[in-house]
Amino acid sequence: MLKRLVTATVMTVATAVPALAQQITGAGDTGPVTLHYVSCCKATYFGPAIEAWSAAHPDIKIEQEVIPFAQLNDVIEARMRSKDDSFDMLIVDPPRTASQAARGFLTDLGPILGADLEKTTNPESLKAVTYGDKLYAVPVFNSTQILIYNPELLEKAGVAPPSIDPDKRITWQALTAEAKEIKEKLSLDYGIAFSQGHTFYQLQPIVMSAGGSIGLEGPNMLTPNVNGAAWKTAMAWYGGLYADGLAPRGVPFTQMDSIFLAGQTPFLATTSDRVRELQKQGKTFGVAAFPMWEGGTPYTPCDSFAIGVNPYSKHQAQAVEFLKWLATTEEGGLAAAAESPNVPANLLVMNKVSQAMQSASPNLDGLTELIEHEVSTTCVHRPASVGYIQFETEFLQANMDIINGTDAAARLDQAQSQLQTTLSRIR
Amino acid sequence: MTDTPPAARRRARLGLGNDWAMGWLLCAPAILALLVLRVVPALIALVDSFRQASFFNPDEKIWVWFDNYVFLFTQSPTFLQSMKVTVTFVIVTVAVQTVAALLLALLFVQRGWAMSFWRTLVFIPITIPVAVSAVVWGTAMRGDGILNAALERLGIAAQPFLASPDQALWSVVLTASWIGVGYWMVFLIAGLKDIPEDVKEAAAMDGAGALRTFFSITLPLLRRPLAFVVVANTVANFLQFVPAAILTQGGPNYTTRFLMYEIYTQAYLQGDVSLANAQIVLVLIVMLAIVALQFRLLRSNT
Repeated sequence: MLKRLVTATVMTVATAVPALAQQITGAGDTGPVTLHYVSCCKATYFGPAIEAWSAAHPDIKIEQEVIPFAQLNDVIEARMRSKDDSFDMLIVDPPRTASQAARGFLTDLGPILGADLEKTTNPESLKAVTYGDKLYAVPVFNSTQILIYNPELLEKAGVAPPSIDPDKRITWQALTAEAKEIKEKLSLDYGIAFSQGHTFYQLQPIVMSAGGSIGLEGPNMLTPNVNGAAWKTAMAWYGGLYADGLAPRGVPFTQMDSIFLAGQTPFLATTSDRVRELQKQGKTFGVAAFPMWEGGTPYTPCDSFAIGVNPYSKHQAQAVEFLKWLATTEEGGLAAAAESPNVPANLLVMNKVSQAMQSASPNLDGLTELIEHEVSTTCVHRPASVGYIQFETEFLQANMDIINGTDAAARLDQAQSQLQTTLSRIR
Repeated sequence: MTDTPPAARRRARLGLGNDWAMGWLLCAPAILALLVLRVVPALIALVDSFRQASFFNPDEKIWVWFDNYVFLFTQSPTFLQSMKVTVTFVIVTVAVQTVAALLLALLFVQRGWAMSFWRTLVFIPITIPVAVSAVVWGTAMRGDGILNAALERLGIAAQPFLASPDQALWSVVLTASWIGVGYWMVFLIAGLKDIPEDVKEAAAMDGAGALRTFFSITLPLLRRPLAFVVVANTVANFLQFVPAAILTQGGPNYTTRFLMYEIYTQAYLQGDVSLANAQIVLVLIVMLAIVALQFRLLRSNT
């Protein structure tokens, strides 16, 4: 019965879009299928969704292969270049969409899923996985940045907590002064930590809030612009935090949560996903809006994992069915959010998940509104460039050097020159 | 006596016979593996180094002949730096490891209390996967790691180690040496044990002291294993990848951007396989030169 239902659904989809039906593989297949999904980071991110789907669809099983984020790009590159057809779906980091789509690593899902997704998915999330007017992945999660603080340490130091109201967000300059004051008064190890402080994801909104460019410009987004005055000012300020001992230098960024949990720092600039992680740890904490540059415009990063379909897969139709369920139904959206700490991109469940986070801890009033505001108003995507991977690689190196004490202005000039040379190879 | 056909007689005269066929049969898997896993990929890399793949369609390749090589030597922001870093690293690491391995080998061939135990202790690091060793050292050398805690206890200021452009390369040398010394020591212990006792006894009877015996007897007779250790160690360190990938990602300021990490970055992070292939060919040339040197050194001692 179920087999017939699945087949009928797949056939309906195929009939409705005849042109695509010719391109999509697996349409009309009746036998049981096992979909292979190359995933990332933690099995629990997609585990509950896969379990819920498999329980309801025994004819389309899903096997998940989890790859650490640090190796994700290398593995995808190697497997897609060899036209590997042993997997059907792959996790997509949105800023890499352009690079992967331009090289034929992703299937255009617009004709078959575009209309449905527009009704249920955050438009900013859809924008992040669109390249050349084509939709290359199904956004599952979204993210934003927040400032987490330790209320006990702030109270001991006599410092008022920063506001969760995005209209009253604290500035980086005021926060730096407060972090220094608390560190000195309470003899703490540090004043502030950044949980992804090595990445462009976390640094981009700071640089742009200071008036810096997005980093890649021009008609093809292949012209670097990382050594303007605002970039240099913002990155010098950021490097200064480490030089002054206010932020932890020489400690892996994966350890920043532990530093906050151990009470070694009063502030942690981090993604919204940490709320649920910290709740699990039973830690008392407060949430404030992500800071902005003094006199600048507030920006926050956004986007999180999406799922794409392998162009060489033999079961694209079945993969599309799973993705449609995940992104356009409440059941799929809640299953995706069950264990993942990320904000869902599925609008049917986004606020429900935020409200659950808010009510699970005291003093998080306003969190739902903050997340909704940031992902729709201050969200800034990373550059949608085919050269983003090269850009991100170079930024990471330059940023780590600045964190470790290299002069920011000189290092950004060097990064600009290196990016110009590297990106000139893209043709 | 039976008559043998001329071909069989010729094979027998050449010493081939059935053994010849059996020999080829036994070598065939190794030769096949060598061809498929080494020779063919090297030839593909050589051909592709003269072409440039389109970024947008990697199957579309145009002949650019020596352009990739010219780019590496004249425009690449990182290639020459990675060569410089790798050569510095190889010279220092090979010297440190060889001298340390020789001193340890000399120590461990002496009779003493629990020598096998101490020898095993020195050898243990080689039994640990390099990636694990790198992670352990990376943790120890963190700003808040155990090494800095020990230094601070001794009244010495905490050191940046892997975070400093002045210390990162030497910190990697330390890690690589900790891993490698025990391995190379084993070859030198075998070499030392091969030196006939009667030669040493004759030297002693002629009144040679410990130093004179070392320089006039031990070292010359140890030339062959020493040559192997130096050459094999050079190749191993030239192809070093794990410490850069795990400990430093080539930084800070490209001071640990080893050649293999540079090639990996070009191929898998930057997606520029053509440039990576040109770099592989250059590494191959250097490796072949080192191996040729090894054969020459070993032959001159036979």
